[in-house]
Amino acid sequence: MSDVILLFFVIANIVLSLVLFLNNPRSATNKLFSGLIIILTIYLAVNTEMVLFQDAEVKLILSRLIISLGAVINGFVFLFLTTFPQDRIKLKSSIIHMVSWSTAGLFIAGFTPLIFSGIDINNNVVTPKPGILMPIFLVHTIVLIFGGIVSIFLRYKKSVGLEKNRIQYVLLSFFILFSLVIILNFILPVFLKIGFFVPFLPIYILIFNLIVGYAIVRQRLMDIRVLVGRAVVYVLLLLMVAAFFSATLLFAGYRFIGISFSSTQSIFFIIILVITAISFHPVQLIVEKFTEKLLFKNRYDINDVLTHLNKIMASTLQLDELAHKILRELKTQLKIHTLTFIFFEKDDVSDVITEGFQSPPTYKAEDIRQITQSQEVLVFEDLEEGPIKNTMRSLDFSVVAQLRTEGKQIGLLAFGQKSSGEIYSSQDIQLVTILSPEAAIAIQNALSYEQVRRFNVTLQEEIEKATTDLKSANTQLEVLDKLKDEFVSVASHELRTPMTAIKSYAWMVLNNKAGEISPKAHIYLDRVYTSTERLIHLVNEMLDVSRIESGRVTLHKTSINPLDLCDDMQTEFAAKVADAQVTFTIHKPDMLPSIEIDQEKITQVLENLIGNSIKYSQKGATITLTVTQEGNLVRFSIADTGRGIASDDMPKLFKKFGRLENSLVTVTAESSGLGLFISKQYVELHGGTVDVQSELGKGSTFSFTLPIISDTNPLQSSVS
Amino acid sequence: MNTASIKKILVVEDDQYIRELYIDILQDEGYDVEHAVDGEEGYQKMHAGGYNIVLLDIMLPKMDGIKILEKLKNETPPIAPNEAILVLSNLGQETIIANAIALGARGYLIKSDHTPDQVVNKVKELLQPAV
Repeated sequence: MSDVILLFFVIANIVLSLVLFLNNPRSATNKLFSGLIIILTIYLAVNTEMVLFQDAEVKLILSRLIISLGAVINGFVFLFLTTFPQDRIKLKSSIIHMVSWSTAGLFIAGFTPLIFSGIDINNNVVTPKPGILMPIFLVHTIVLIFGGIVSIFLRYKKSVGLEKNRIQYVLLSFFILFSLVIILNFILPVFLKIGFFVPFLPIYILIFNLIVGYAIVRQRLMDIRVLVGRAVVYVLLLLMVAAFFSATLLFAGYRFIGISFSSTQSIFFIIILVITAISFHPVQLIVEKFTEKLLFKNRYDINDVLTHLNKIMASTLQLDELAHKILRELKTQLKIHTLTFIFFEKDDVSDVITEGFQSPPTYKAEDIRQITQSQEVLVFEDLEEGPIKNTMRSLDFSVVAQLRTEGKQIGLLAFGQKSSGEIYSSQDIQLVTILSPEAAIAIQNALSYEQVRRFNVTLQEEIEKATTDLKSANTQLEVLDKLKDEFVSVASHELRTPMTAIKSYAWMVLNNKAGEISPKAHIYLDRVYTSTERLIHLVNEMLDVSRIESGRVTLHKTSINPLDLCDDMQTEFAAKVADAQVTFTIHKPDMLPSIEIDQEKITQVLENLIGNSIKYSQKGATITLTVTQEGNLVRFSIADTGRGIASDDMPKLFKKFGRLENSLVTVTAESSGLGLFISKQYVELHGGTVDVQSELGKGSTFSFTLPIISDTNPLQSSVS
Repeated sequence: MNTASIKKILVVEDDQYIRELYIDILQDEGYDVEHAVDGEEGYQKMHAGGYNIVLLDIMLPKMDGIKILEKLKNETPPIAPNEAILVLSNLGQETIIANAIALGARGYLIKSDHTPDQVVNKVKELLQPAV
């Protein structure tokens, strides 16, 4: 009996040792434990077989062998416990030396009379006699074993995570082994005389080896609590089964059938039972897989397929790709002939995606209305006769699943016949039921993505169109701008040239360069001259306005004293004033600061305002030019006692042509209507303001201000 | 006051009426006046040079006034120098005015804004040696 166990034990341990070593040949932990297993195996084998030998001499030799191995075991255990679960022995070399040398020494000493001096045999009980060095051996054992345990226990406290887990396992298995050995190999035999379990020691050792081996090899260890929990459940289950069986077998068998078994037989049966019970579940799984492979060629693992489909649904947002991939997976796994996705949008069929059709059919909303009302999966075979079943028959759908998300139906997933012609199994229906809502969500996401993408494209197109429109509008504006420039050039040159000739020749004759002319001729020609001047003036003003409007006015600023400007005006208008028989007076202080202005333009403004005053005054009227300083401004005022301006007309004064809208009535006669507009623009370009006070019949006062300190570039400021 | 020699004037102007007007009024002042009727001729004569003052129009056939000034300044300077150049034009664009000045013109006036005597005064002003 024990031989069987022993043989099994030896083989199992050798296999385990090999497995452990091969798992990681470079790791010290693996190497140490493999070695330990081998030595333990030899130790226990010899220990067990020792009883076969009767000869005292042989027994003595074997005992010495055992004790020598014991020393080696001590060494290995110590090294293993101090190293586990690391790859390298991390002890001080002095310690390694001490351990190695003491172990080697005791190993050799074990074969001499120093440890076991001799042997006593009393009634078949073999007792080796301790020698001189036995105490040292005991010390060696205690120090190394306990030292190892303490070391690993300290490391357990310090460690975290996976390492801590592994050490837990080792400590646990040590604990189990220790408990089993103490209880079954010591307490029971010695105190209760039950020696039954003694030969099973190798098995406990094997269990211990397996647990530690597991702790070494596995990357991810089960939670110890889970492991212990499951083991407890299993053991309890087995005990219950074994107890029931034993009771039935022994008691009922004895009572009802009249059989009694010997204790050996009983135990044998119980062991067989236990093994059967243990192996039932794994064997069941193996048989299941085998028969499934054999009989159900079409079977698939529903979880595998669902996992795969989930991967597919997470892999893409492209509706087309998504739908086709899903259909293909279903087609392959469930071996279906044809599959169809039908998508709705606003109560109508928006898209149809199929797999397996030679030429995909089209579906209209009416055709499928019947099958879109249901809440569940529709299975053809399970339906009663009626409109739904008829629809499915006509469309050749075996199974129809609704795709619903957020309470809205976004489409259908329709399955055609299976390739094998079979009906859909309950596993298939289960798959479809689980799949439908998930697919609905994935499809919805793809649709939303598509919407966003399309919107983006539309947006792009709109932007491009708008840009093109803008570009063409811009080009048109550029063309118009060029035209305007051309007009300005043409006006400048083509109009002015003949006007220059008219004016100049009129002047020549008027000034007697062509001989004397009669007074009447003088008057007539004078009118020609004046008219031409007006014409030239008008063209000049229109060119000015054109320049102002296209923002091409450049102010050439210089430092001018307003007092000088006034004097210039006096001189310039002297003749005209005399002609119009009006009085032109200037009021100015003695001192005025110079101002940064474009002299030509401000002169133009003054000429315009003074000219206007003269035009609208009767004979004998007074025109006054006043210039004053107001803070950081200089104010020019031109006051006349002319006919004044009606308050209704005031707002239109500084506008171009000063005309009433849609009226042919001119507000100002004899004037282009542009002069005031231009004056206002020029003044404002300098940062000043214009103002007018007037009363009909009494006269008007036009004034404007100019800043003394300009806030732009003092000498040249260009306005665009 | 230099009365030793008679001043030589060149009038470059394509419009007949205006050209003949300027020739008349300048000759009346006792100047020796030559003329050119287009840009090409104007350029040739200005290139030969030696004038006390040139009255140069901008808008000319064959070659415009600015081009003439450019060529004389950058490519082929006048053989005999022209003492002064007065640009007479009806173009008022400031860029053109600035350009002409930069290319060597001493003055610029808008024809339609000036009476014949004002033109003569301007010419006399520029005939004075440059200050």
